Amino acid sequence: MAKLKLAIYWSASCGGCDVAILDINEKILQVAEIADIVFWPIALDFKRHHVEAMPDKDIDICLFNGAVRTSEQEEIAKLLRAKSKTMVAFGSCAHLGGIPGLSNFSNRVQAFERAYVESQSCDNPDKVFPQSVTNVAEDELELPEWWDTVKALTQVVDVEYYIPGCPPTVPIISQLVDALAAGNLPPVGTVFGSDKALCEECPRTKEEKTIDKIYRPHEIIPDPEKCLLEQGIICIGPATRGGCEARCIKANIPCRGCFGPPPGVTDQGAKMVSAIASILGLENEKDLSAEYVERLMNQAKDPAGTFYRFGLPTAMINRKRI
Amino acid sequence: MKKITIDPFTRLEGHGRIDIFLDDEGNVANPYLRIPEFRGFEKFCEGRPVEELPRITTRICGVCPSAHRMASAKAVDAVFHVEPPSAAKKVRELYYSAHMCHSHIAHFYVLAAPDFVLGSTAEPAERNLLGLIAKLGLETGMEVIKHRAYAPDIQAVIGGKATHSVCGLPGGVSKAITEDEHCDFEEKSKSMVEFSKL
Repeated sequence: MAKLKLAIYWSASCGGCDVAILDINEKILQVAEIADIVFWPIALDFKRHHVEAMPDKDIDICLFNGAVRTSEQEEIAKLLRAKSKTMVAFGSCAHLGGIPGLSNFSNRVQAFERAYVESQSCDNPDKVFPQSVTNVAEDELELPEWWDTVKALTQVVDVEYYIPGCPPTVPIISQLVDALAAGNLPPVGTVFGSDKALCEECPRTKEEKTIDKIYRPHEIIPDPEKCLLEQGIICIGPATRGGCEARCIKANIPCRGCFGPPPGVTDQGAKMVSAIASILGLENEKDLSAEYVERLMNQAKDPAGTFYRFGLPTAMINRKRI
Repeated sequence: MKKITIDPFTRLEGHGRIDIFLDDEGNVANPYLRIPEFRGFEKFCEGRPVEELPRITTRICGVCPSAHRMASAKAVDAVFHVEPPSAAKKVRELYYSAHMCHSHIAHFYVLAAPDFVLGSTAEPAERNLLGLIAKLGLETGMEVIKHRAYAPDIQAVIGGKATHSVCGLPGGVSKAITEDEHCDFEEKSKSMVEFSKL
């Protein structure tokens, strides 16, 4: 088999997805056997002009991590799409919008005001914001346009596969590498990971218990054997695709949903509201006043920022109207 | 005026571009560094429950997430006016020491060493981690890969995940360390110290 051409790119991201690829350890040598890496800014010195010079569809597979927020990120997403036969949304940001997607609770001006004016570490009395064009003695310098709304990769270009996770796990990345090595990729549209909700693979015991109080994670020392949600700790497991091996939960910390919704669930937050409603305040439910039920539900702090922690840009309501 | 553009800059964590303007003699007249990336943590951390921040701010940087986790966990301790118990402080310190090892090994072998070992004029296809392993030989390469993995292994046991781990809570950590894990950490740590002397 001829060697594949592989590109890896980071957009609005943190670099954790790139480190996750290094975390496959000796398997990186298998990647080198089956593929030539033709673009990977964190680890290789190929530049944008190298990519621009490639014929269309020259790259066999592009692992694109990060969300899309600027004009430049959209340009590069479209450039890599044109040059690649297969595009993979790699990690929560490309898949769902990710942590940067929390920006959709505000807009560009609010974010700039906070970061460049109000920030305690900033001294900027003239309120200078990043400009798309700055004239200097030598030339005109450009910065990308920064939009109000963060998008997932799939909202900008066509995507063939999705690798979930913040960051993706070693077994899931290995699954992709093995599929590439065998020339045996799954059907287009596949989201890697499990086809079931995270609760199915969670090692904790579920007792079908109901709750009447919601605890914040630091307010309680949870029983290490029992379901966190049934102990009153908000855990997004019921609204999250499995496949991560419950890695946060095994560290006694509740899930925040980085694998996105399970198959058949359109909206992760709506699913989570339904999961909480089905266990909270069920004792004598008929006798409870509407105000009391509202008080119970209000114990869940920052529901939008918690239930859509990783997926606000791809939720049914994908931003705050400002 | 001649302009040299480096876009993007590579082998470091972060997005950027450099434009260097040369004068008529070919000397550098003025360089400009352009950072085209801004995600706005300053704004979107607002409104989140404060105890959630140590697991959000790690995404400032996925190469050094543990530094951001630790800073955030300490800030949250201060918000709650709590002092972690001695055992929790030691677990945090162990976790952060593992991160230091991980970060230094990654920086040297993945980001910096290709320039020194393969030379700054080597082709981009060679001047990288894989080229480095090819040049050093598979045996040394496997030692690098093995020890680069040890530190994130320790972080993953303590923090659930190596990158963006979740162990930090106001006043301490969420998970204790077992005797078996302790022994494993000790063995891996000693091996990393020996590796560092190579």
